[in-house]
Amino acid sequence: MSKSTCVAAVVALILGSQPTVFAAEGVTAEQLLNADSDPGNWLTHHKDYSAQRFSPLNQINKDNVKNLHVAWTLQLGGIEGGGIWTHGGLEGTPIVENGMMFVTDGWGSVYKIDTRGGQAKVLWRMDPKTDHDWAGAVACCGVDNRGVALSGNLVLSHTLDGRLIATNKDTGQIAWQRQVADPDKSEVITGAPLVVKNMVITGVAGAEYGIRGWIAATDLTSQKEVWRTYTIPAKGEPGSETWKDSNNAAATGGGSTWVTGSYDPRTNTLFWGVGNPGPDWDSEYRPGDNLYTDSTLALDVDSGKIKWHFQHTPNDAFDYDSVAENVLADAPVHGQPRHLDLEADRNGFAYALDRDNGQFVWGLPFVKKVTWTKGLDPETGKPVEYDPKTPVQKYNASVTPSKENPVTMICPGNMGGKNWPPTAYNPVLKEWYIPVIESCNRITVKPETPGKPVGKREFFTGGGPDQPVRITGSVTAIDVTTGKEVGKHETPFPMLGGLLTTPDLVFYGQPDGKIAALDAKTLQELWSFNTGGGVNAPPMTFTSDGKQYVAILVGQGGAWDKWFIESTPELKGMPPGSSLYVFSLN
Amino acid sequence: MAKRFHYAFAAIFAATVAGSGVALADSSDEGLRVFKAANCVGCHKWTGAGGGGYGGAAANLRKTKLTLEQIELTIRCGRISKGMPHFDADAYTDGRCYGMKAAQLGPGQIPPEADHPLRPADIDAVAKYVVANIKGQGEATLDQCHSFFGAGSRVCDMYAKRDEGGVQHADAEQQEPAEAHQHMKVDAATDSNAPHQDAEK
Repeated sequence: MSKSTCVAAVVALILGSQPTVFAAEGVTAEQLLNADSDPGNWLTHHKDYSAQRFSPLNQINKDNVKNLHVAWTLQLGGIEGGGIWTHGGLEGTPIVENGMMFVTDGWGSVYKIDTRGGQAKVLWRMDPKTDHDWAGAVACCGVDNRGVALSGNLVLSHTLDGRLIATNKDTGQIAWQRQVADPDKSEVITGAPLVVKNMVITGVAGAEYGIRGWIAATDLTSQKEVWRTYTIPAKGEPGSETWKDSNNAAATGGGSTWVTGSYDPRTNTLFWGVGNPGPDWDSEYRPGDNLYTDSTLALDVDSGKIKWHFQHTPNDAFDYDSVAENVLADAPVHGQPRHLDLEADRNGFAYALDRDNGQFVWGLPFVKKVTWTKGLDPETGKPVEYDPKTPVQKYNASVTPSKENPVTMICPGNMGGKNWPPTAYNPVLKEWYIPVIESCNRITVKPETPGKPVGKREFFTGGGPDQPVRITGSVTAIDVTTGKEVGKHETPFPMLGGLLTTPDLVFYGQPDGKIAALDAKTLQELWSFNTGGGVNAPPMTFTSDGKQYVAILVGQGGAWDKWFIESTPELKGMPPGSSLYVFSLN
Repeated sequence: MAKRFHYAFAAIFAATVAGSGVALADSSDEGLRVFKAANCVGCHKWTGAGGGGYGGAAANLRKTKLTLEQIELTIRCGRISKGMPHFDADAYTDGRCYGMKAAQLGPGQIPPEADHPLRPADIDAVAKYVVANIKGQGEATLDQCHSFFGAGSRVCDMYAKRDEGGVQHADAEQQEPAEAHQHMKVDAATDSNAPHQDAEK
């Protein structure tokens, strides 16, 4: 802690400058455990530990949503470029505690906003002075930061340059910070932290640059790291036998963890998705299944030990991360009560697993077009062509990128059927809504040379994509009790922002600026508004002074406008921006 | 130090294009500014070495054989059927580029439009910058990195370690306190799933 921070903290303590009774104790572990029954607040990234992004608030409902209008807006910063990026963008989910909102911009500045009285007042901004060029040069997919976590009197946030920062919630001063990821190794952080018990959990990005991925837990009292679970096993660890090459491909094997996970207190289990293997499109470089890339991991939250894993795309040649959030839902499937883990994978399939043991329950394609496989084995959930005895999987060989098939159209495209933007699950209707990228794109394989040292802070992808065809989107609904698709609301642009569901509504945003509400049962559009800026962030809802609001960050960031814009030509003129929109009735 | 090496570059630059009649140091400054502002860095990287990745492979400008005039043409017109954008807004309106108009080129052939077109003077400056500071330069060095970024970012640290065999460059060390950037190191916990942890318990 710096001297000035220390002084500020002491002054704040002596003067008791915070009028609210809540400030004194802050968010407790108990409150986070019960966040699902705290409808007015949005205390953690995915609202609660289940990652359902369901709010029971119903002041805004299907009968009156047509009257929703802008309550207030706020301009934020962080739009500047750095490294290979011309600008930052907004992908965060606002966090709200008792009318106080906390948001981040792309470079990791945290803003505390008082929403009481029907207007916005910025109380402080913590600028972490992120090293733009150091971090931005090795951020594959934009200058992004997905938000904060709360614990006690601290606001926890990450920076693209690899830090975990604890900010005093009252003063906006940095209380402490530690380096968790190392941009010198091409590790950067874009995900929001997750607080569980007295720990804050961090995931990492960088699988396009030859990292060895991990998930790390930092103790909030000692500020020391208590565990680090590598997503690529070291030699001799279980799973290391799935790296069959003799060139130590595992050392640069990828396996990022840049989407915030979920937690089941009933079994003390943390659920976290793992990204693609590296090099992305040269699967021959790394024969074997490449565990734990493209997998869902269940971890003991106290030790970080892996309890089980489920791999969606063994020996991936498509960049089909399984980095997505795992939604925890209890529902009957074909009449049997199940503890489910729901995951919508970049490979185009939605999966339900038994989250107590990792067993496959059901799976189905949620995109209109899948070409890389004929489908999933109904028993195992593996792609039907998968052969555990084959070191390099060919799947549908006429589609799968390989040396023999170096220029190939894949569906879904490499951004996946669903990327990081979160799904939402409605426990009343038992319907799960997926923000879909309906896509194909073209992969050109440029094989990496086995044994040749991997360039430091250089792309290590074994090829690259381009965008010869239009990409669109949809909100696709799945009945989790049957594992069947029950609706698809098509959108002209891909879903790059994610979803929110309330008892009878689903909210989403589009990269052309549109925000809309759908009837949760019929998926018919009931309301829309165009913000005039690309939406690349999920909507959320909260109450302030007892009144319900819907909030969403607006400002195109991410990978789209740099790498994928040719597939959505109308978006080419969309300038970057950085603002917050908040809606209410009357 | 950054400033000193900047002047060194200006000298190289002067030797390369002497006689062009422009104020050489200013032009190099201008070229660097354009190289950053036009986001050449986005694909070619600060080193100009380019390389593969999500956006496809950008040309290695350090190894380019193109002349100043050819580089200027490539910036104005982009590259047919490739990812290099055209920075002359009117490149394909009247046949000025490769004798082609937009209508003669299919959707996969016409080069992408630049986000922000450049003025002729900007194109001139950045082409000269590439010839003077990037073309034929071999591996990127710490000094070149500092000339590009200044000393405020950790982006150059990897070159310090490489150039000095793992030892921080003495001059670079002296530069650092001037800028507010963190030099914290990662203190990671041991591998949760390592077999020896079982033995301990």
